[in-house]
Parts: sequence; C-alpha cells; structure tokens
Amino acid sequence: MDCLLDISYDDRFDPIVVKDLCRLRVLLLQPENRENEELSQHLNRIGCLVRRCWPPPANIQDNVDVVLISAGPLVEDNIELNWDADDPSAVLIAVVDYENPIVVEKMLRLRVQAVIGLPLQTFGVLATVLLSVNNHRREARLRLRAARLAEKLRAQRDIDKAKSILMAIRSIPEDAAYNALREQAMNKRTTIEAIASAVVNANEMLHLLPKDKSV
Amino acid sequence: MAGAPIKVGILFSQTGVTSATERGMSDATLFAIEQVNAAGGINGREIVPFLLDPGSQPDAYYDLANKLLVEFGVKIIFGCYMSSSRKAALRAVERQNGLLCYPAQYEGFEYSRNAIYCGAVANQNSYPLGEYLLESSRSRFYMVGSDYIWPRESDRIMTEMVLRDGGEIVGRQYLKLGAKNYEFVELVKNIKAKQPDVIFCNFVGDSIIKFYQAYADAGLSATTMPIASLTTSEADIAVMGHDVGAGHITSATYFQTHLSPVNRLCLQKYEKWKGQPVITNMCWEAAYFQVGLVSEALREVETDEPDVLRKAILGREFLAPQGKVRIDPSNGHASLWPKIGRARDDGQFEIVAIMDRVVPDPYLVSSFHRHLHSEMNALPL
Repeated sequence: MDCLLDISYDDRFDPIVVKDLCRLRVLLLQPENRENEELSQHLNRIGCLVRRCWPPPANIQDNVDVVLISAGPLVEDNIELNWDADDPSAVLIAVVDYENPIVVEKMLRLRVQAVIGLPLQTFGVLATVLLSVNNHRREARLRLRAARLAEKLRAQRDIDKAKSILMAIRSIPEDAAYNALREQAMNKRTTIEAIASAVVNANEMLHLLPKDKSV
Repeated sequence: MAGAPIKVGILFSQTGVTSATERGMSDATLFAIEQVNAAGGINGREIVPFLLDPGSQPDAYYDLANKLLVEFGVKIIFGCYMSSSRKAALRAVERQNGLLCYPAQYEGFEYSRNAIYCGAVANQNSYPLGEYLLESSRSRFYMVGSDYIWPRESDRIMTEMVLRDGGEIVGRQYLKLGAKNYEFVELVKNIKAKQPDVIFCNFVGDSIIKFYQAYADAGLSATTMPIASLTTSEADIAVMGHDVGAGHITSATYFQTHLSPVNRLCLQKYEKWKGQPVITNMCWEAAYFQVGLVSEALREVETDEPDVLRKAILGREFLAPQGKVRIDPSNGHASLWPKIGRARDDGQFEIVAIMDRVVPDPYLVSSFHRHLHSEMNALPL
C-alpha cells in the first residue's frame, strides 16, 4: 500500500479527500471502554482502517497515517507516548475531555494537529481527520522545501566565497571567476557547488587569505 | 387500552414548497399508527401522535422538534424531508436525547445515535440509476437541479459514474428553490441545443413540476431524451399531468405498482382509510414502514427511552411494502430494495429493473473503491 503521507511527489493540487479515507491507517490509542468504542466504530463507519492499542506502543510504526490518543491518561496516569513532535511520522489527534491549562499545555507540547472532544459528537470527526491529515502533509512539504532552500543558500554562499578567492588570486573579474568554476565543474563532471566548496576548503587549509576577508 | 399511552411527534410540513410530498408522509405515519393501535398498540398501550406543521421552514423544524420533546414530552419523532430540515430537527433531538426517524432519500454522510434513516442513500438509488442508464447506452448527460446540497452531491456521484464509463456531461445548470416558470423555459432551451441522451434531474418540490412541464411544452421526447430522477414520484406526476410525466425514469426503493402481497394489502387498507383513491410514493412507503418497525421494537423493550429502544431497532427486520427491510446495526440506515421505474400514461410507474436488497453505505464516496454487491436484474418488458 502506498503511503498517503508521502510528500516526495508534487501534490499541491492533489489533496487527500474523502474518498482517500479508505486508505487511511488509523492507530487508536485509547483504553477500552464504551465511549472509546463509539469513536472506533465511527472511524470504521467513515471508512478508515482502524487498529487499537493500549497502552501506547514503545514505537509508533511507519505503517500508520493517523494516531488518535486519549489525552487524559497522558496527564493523569503518567502514560508515556514516544512521539517526536519536531518530526512526526504521522498525524497526531488528541481525544480530550478537559480543556484546562495542564491538558492544553500537553497538547501544545506534543503539537497535536487537532482535538476531538468528549462527549463524542460523531459529526465533525470526518472533517477533523481529513483537515489534519492535509495540514500535516502541507507542513511536511513546507519543511522539506525549507531544508532544500537552506541547502541552496549554503551552496550559493560557497560559490560567492570561491569567486572572491579566484578574483583575488588571479586578479580576474567576477564573471571570469564564475566561468572558471563552471568549466572546472564540467571537466570534473560535478556540480559547480561541489567545486566551489572544494575551493573554499582548500583556501582555508592553505591560509592563502585570512578567513574574515574571504567573503 | 391498558397502560399509559406512548406519545410520539410527527414533523412533516402541511404547508410550503415541499408540503405536497410531506403531507403524504404524515398521512402514511398517521395511517401506520392507527394500524398499530388497531392491532392492540404497544402491548396494550396506545400510540398518541402529535402533529406539528413546520411550513417547509428549516428554523421551524428546530423550534417545533424542541417543542415536541420538551413541552409535549415525546421521545420519538417521525419526520423531515429535506436535508436542511433534518439537520435543524436533529440539533434539537440530539440535545434532548430523542430519536428522529427519517424517511427520505438523502445524500448520506451522517450518523447520529439519535436518528435512524429509512430512505435510500446513494448506493441504493444513484448507483442503480447510473448503471441502468449507462447499460441502456445513454452516455451524454445533462445535469440539472435545485441549488442546494443534496442535488450538488447527487450530481457529483452520478458525474463520477458517467465519466468512469466513458460518458460525458454536456451541460449543467442549477436553479434556486422556487424558481419561476420562465427560468425553466430558458433551461429547456439550453438542453434542447445540447441534445443529451438523458437529463439527470435533481429538482425538488414544485420545481419538479415546472421543469417537466417546460420540457413537455418544448415538444421534447421522453423516448430519445428521458429525464431521470431520484425524487420525481407518483405524487409529482399526478400534479404535472400523466401525459407530461409519461416515459421518464425514476430510481427509487418503492413504486406504488410494486406487486408484493404486502404492498397490495397495504394499499387496499390505505384507500379505505382515506376514503378515496390514493397515490403513494417512496417517501410515503418509508414513512409507513418506519412506524411499523419502531412499533415492533417498542413492543420488545416496552419503553420509548431512546438509549434502550435504539438497541432493539438496530438489526431489526420488517416486512415493508417494498420488501423485507433491515436497519443496519453499524450505521443506523436501512437495507433497501432498489428499483427503476418508467412512468406510464396513467401516472404510475412500470418497474423495469429491480435489485436484490442493498446494504446502506452512507459514507460511500466513490464507486471505485467499494463495489456494488448486487447485479441489476433487468425485467422483461
């Protein structure tokens, strides 16, 4: 089964919609009781593939798209959830029966995407799950884009540095320095960023120029 | 009768744009309640109905549902036709923990512990209709309807089916509820210019009448370009004129012409009760059978407390005029018997195709991922 949360392809115009619910793998982390059973049944009813587990497993596996967890036991019973809030592997939705500062702070620390309130109202569960899945995916996509931009920015800084080094050593203008880097990259069959990085590293090693003037 | 009576509410509009259909539904409900009482009521307790008229206004459904639950002290309400009115009534019913029994076809995507749904959802009327039309080699569709949520959703479902099977949508137009005659004349002109194989019609209320009449006035032929609908019923055809309705197609879980012994007997009794020839339709039938089904559950648990009664309703079967129906325990909707009817010259439908009982799937979005369980059986003409 392909992963719904996969962001490796361009899906700007391809949101996860209602018909995709039947591919959503939901892990329900709730103690067994009548009220929790109703949520499980409703998730089944709207088409999700539901698995239940309690207490939370030591590790949430990759084959889960959405995790729903009862917030109460996390706060009151010291139940642990092994969750990487900075790089979540799935969508996290809390099922809450309190809205007090302690519970809310816990939600914020776990960075849950949405809450489902108790007593359970079945209306709204479908929209909550879908919106949070789409928000999660958009956030993951933005994170990926930010990482790529940071990488690109670093590379550009190396190119600028390398140009300055060449201009100083060979007394050539900027465009000639750039052309030299590009030719070298073509000859070595590599990227201009890689050549620039090599020039900068070599320069630092040889102390040909003081570091603080190299930019 | 012995024991305290069981009070129930009836919430169907006696006035306003949808009253023609809803009056049939309240008649069916009252008739069914009288039958239950005549047979000894609920283990000797009489069912006493309280009928209020919301006048086809959604806000009034909320107010009057509250009134029934709080002032009249009922727990069970039989009522509502349009989705907007069901949503309004349900807000009151959920707050007061009552039970709403809803007897109309609708767009699905709802589940409430305080409701049972006895009308068809998409996999019980849209899909059978789509299959029937596409198998009859009708592939160029023109979509029309009243401009609110149900027609839009119904259109979406049908469009997906049509496109999947290589058909095309050659036009699409919506008119406001209560649109004027000249707007329908304009619409029919546009349709005539596009020459579709079939018009998928999701008008409701008096717009149905105006549309079919505008179609007939334009001299279009039901043989080459039929109107196909999920709502146009015997009751509408009686108003628009038999000649106007003849030849057009409707998908529903019940037609008055259905030849089951239960239906024949029920119609005889209903005619006697009314004291005149009667016209029934799918909404009438669902409104009728849900009273019988709930009454059997009441007899079993002897209380109208919704939390107790609901358990006795879920999974229950009942021999209805359309066939034996069943309330699905997982979603509170009814398993029903889809049929395709073609209107005859006498205002009644000839049933041209019939399916085995279909389990309701109210959260079904796409015909792609959950296959239909039954094959359509074409009947000899």
